[in-house]
Amino acid sequence: MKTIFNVILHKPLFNLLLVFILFIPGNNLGLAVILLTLLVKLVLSPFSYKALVSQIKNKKIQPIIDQIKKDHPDDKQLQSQKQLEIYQKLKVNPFSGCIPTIVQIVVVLALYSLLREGFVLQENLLYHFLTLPTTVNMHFLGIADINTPSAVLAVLAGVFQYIQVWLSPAFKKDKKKEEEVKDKKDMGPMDMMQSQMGVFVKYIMPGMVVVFGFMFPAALVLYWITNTVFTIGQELVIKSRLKTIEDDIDLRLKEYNL
Amino acid sequence: MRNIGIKLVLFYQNFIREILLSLGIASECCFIPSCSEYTKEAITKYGLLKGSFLGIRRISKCGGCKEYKHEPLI
Repeated sequence: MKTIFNVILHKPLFNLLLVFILFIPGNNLGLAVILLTLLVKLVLSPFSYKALVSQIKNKKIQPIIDQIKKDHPDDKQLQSQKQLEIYQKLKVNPFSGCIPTIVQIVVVLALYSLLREGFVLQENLLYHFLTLPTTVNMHFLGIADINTPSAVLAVLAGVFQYIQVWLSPAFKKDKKKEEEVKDKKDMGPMDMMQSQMGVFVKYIMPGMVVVFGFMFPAALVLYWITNTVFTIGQELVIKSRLKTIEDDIDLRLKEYNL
Repeated sequence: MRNIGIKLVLFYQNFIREILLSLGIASECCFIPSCSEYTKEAITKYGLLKGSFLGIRRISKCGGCKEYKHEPLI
């Protein structure tokens, strides 16, 4: 198992990171991590963009789906059939399935295994067409060694995490529901769970990011920050197109009298 | 045993999936009902062992998609 992990994850990522280190003037590990993250996010951005769009559309359709479930509480088969019909009528489509999610989780795991004990140049991981750089610059933005934790980056990661979640369309859904159900006693167990989830995601998670940031090497935290900032950018782009997306779905809703 | 499996799926649906969604990492399930919903139903109907097996089989069918596919539990 460990060898498989080495061959398909650890090794390719090590070499990819090395390519960036070799081609960046100054052989800087911090910059290499940032560029690697940007590359992964850029490749996945069409998928995550579509996923964000259908999140917004799904949010709009949710009341209709809930109504279907209420109308046919015992017939799961009919429920999903009707659900599919709605999706087809409204032209809501998933785009990618589970692959982008898996890719991102795998990259996090591989980066973690590469950086958790500090980045070391290992000859046995090297692909034959690459050569090891003579030195790797571990200095980044005033941090002496990004193989050690950095308080500044940890706090920054938390701040960006808070902004990112705050902008996320997935989170907006919870907020709206909370407003609708003002009296918490009226909440069902499901709503209760979602409302707790909202609090957790918004406040506790950024806090956890800071705590982990103090524990992990700064290079890893740098990955997280880059990732978060990129997602914030994506969310801002989505936000600027929100009206068009919502108008489109409203138009179709009207067309079918739903 | 059955309940443990269902609790685990619920934990994924309400906790892990929500976190992935708000991180912008999650993408969507191509299937209706979704893989987690399907697994939940399968465990309820066939028990933990066979239910989990059916769930894993369903997830392994995921290969990206352009439209939703209707694949209910039989």
